[in-house]
Amino acid sequence: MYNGIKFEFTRELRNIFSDKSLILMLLAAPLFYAFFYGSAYLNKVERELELVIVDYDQSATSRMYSRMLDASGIIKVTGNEPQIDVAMNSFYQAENKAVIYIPKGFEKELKKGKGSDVKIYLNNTRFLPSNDIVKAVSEISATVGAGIRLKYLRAQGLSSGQAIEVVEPLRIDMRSLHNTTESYGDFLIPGIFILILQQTLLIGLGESIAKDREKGLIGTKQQWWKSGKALPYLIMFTSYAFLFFTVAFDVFGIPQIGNYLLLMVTTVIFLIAVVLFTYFISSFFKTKFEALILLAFTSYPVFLISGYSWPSMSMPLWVKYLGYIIPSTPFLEAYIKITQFGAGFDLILPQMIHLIALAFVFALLNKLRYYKFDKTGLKV
Amino acid sequence: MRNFIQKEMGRIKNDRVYLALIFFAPILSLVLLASIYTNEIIRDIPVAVVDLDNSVLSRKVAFYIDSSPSMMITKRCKSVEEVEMLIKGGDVQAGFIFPHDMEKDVKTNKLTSVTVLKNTINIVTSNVLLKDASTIIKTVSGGITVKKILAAGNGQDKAIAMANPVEVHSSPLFNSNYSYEQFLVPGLFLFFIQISLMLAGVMAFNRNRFEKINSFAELLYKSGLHLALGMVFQIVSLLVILPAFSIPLTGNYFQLFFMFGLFSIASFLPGAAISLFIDDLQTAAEYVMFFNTPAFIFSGLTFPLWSMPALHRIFAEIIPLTHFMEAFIRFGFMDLTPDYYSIQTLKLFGFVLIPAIVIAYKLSRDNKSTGVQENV
Repeated sequence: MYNGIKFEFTRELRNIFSDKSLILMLLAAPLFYAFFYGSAYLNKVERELELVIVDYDQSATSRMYSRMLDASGIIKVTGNEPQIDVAMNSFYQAENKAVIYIPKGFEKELKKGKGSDVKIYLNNTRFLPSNDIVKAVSEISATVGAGIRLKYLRAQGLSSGQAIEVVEPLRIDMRSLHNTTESYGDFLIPGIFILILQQTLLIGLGESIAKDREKGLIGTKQQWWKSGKALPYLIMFTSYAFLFFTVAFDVFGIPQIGNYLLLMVTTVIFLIAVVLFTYFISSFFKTKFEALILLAFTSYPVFLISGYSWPSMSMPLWVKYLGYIIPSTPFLEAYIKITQFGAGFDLILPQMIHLIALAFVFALLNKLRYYKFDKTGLKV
Repeated sequence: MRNFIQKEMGRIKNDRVYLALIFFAPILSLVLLASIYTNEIIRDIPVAVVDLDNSVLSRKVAFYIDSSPSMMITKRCKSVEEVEMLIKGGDVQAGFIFPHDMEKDVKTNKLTSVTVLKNTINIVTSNVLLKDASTIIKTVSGGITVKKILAAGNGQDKAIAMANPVEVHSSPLFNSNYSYEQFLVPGLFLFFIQISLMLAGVMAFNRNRFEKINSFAELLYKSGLHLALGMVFQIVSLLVILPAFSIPLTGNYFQLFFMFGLFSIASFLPGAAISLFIDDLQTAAEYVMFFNTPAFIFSGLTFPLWSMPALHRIFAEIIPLTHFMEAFIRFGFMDLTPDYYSIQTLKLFGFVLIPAIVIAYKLSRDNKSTGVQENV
């Protein structure tokens, strides 16, 4: 058995290094994608979102309000248009992401204690800028509002200290646990690393299995589960994972507060599940080209179905269950708990069981599937 | 011409990989992705409450939290540590902590606050929590302010105005209910068009698979046939899949046909050109894949291009999807006239012209070198 594994191991290494497409998929792609994708989010948060203000009031208060918006860091006021239609035109040109409308009498109404409205027209075709603008405008409006309330309370005879206590009777103290900067980069980059690991392994190994099938090398006398074919992939991808969790995390400023041993053990179980999953999926491909083309379509669906970006609780049941078949779904959950929450074994036990169960199920399916190959001579 | 087309059709009919590439894989992927977002917005995010006050006010705030469409109280805890453990375990996404004497402090004009611990790992759920939790607490706080100002002998209008002097009315245009389905699915649909047509271009013109093209007319017939087949996915998606998932698109039929046609050619021809320079089908397809896989991320739909480093912005410029996405947003969502996306249209013409010149040059040179006397 040992000699068999050794033979398959060295044969696969030769196979990888003599095949340009496998070199590209297994050696170049994981590293290139990890650093290229990751660096796209280097800025992590948006800054200076352009918007235009239509100030019909032209008062000291409205100008102060505009200056406060511009000073927020998130927003950049590109102009102060006197006419709403001119502002809306620049908005439609997508030069500005929002238009803020300050009505005539803004200052006067506030001074009278009547309150005034500010209107934001948002280009909601992209969510990230539009959410950030609303957040910034609301915060600044609340600050201005609190200032006005404070003045009013002092005019009512309250001391400064008393007025500050009354100005906002019930406050909210929002504390972000993990990803404290609430950045899009810190949210997405860790997930992308796992997607890269799974998909390049899936496509690379899938191509290699399909190539073996083209050559008539599988399903005859080989007992695939004793084969050393998968070993180079496991070693290679475990190394990539380690590199991502250490160097790439550090380069992109992603915190890792978990236990490395637990993280790597979980990762190896995940990679074994992916290898077994790949063996099963690839058994349906007759050529290497077929494997490449069809597996290419799986990357985005696999990521989006995992519940990483859109929570699984908001998916239809059948989609949620479909996601459970893919190893990245439980792994992403366990991996985030370990790296971001510092979770121990007890907290990731359900995901660990899920991964081991997937490995067993695919091992069983592979046994049945490749047994059929033996019987029918690759005609399945 | 008829013979040529018949021969090509015969090949296509028997090519299961090609058929999967232009019909089945993109259709199945699009249906699956659209299904993920059928609920459109996030509802009932599980949250925990630690009520150390146990007063009328704290119960009222808890009631508002539970009544909001986005949140659902699934756990009542005794300590902050318990909430933190629940967040770590993934059982809840946030915890609201009402401090001791919260109601008493509000009544005696002492500073008090509701602490909200939230899991910010997922920015999508975290944004929903931030927005709705802030709205609830501000509403309750505003109500208390109104009562206090009324008690000081002011009129109701004044009290309401003082509770929130600068009221912000936001009018989100083009996707007013923040539907993720309307936001993401059309973008992914465009991505599938590009990847399937670029790979179709590789397969259609790969020399190891088919014999050489000997005339300009053959080049046109072949491209036209593959493009027409490639556009079936788009027609099925625009007429059946997107309407079935209630994803609205604006723009007239002519606009849609013209722009989608242009984008299809701009996706197909670069694949065809690559294929003419790389004889090995597998290698050519891999280059196309390598280039296409990041295309959706670099289209700027989810994370804006202007926030990316310069190198990534340059890469985004050489992808047809980036320009078509920008144009599509303007005609498909914003219902704008062509002058609002003329720059993007011109850039797409560039993606047609440059590969077309390269293909024509390469074919004419190859045919000269092999001695074929045809007018390429």
